[in-house]
Amino acid sequence: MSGLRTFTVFGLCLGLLGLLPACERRDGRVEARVGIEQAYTIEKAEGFSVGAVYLVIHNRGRSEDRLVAAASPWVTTVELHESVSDGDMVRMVARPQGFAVPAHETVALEPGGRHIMLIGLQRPLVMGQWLPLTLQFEIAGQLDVNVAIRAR
Amino acid sequence: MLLRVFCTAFLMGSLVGCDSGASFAGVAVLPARPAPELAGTNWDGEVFSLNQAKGGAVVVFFGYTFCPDICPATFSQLRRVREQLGDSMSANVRFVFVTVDPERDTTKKLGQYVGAFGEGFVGLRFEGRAMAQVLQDFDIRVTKHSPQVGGGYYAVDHTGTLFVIDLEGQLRVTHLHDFSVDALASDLRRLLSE
Repeated sequence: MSGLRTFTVFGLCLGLLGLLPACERRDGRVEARVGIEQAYTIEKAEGFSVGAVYLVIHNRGRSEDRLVAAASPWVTTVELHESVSDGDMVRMVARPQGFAVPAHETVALEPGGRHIMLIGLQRPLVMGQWLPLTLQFEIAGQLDVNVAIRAR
Repeated sequence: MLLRVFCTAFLMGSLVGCDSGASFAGVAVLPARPAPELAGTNWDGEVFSLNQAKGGAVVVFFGYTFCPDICPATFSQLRRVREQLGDSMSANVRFVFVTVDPERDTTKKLGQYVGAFGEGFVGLRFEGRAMAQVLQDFDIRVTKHSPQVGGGYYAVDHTGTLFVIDLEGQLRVTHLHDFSVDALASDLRRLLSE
């Protein structure tokens, strides 16, 4: 009888342990899952209406995540785009489905490739200042980033 | 002995006369040909004419100011090329930007955009038939489209080639939009010392 009880308790414990990965704490500390580095944009004088943000995304989580949107109080519309080389042509392609970041991997948004497009700058981007940007990830949720404004 | 001298001289002579286009970092234009004329008014009101720019090297490239990524990156790269060449050589090079989006790129906008990159940059704008002629002359393909449905704006996909013209007005080498600063600077240095 006691052998059966031991077995049951043991089995229950195993079961609980098995549930743990699915019940990840959502304590709002998104930095633990997704890290952002080297976020920058190029300075833009008065009269410029578009810009691009580049950054590096580290996915420290156990599952693939996806950057799906972004927004800034300084910008009317923010979209995800990619510049694509097609022979000697350069094309701009919208990526509304966003950018996937596999588990434990790093994805870099760089000039000439994937980037966050700023459409409708409401103020000039002055070198040395920081553009406030909120990134939206499918799993990690919202992440606020200060984007460095660099010289052209 | 005389035969040996003759053969050596002959070999050396043929090497000197040999077309060394293969040593360009970019894509050599072989045979070199006169660059198409490109004449217009710079954003600052000054007249620019490629035919009359002889004595200096010229790099012609196409783009538009509503381009957030490639075009600003190209300008920044070209600024670095100027820095690498140094003041003295840069004074003999002009980087001529031609907009493929005259609808949005007014002369004022071009001035703000190109002017912000400083010395050595020219910004030209053509309309209608003149624009069509320039695009044809340089074999520039252009596609206007809306990347995002309902986005309320359009992008202008275009040929991203850079055309490098020598001191005699000959088209000598081309580079793709993802050129390296070192490569273009090296080709310009070569042309400037011819």
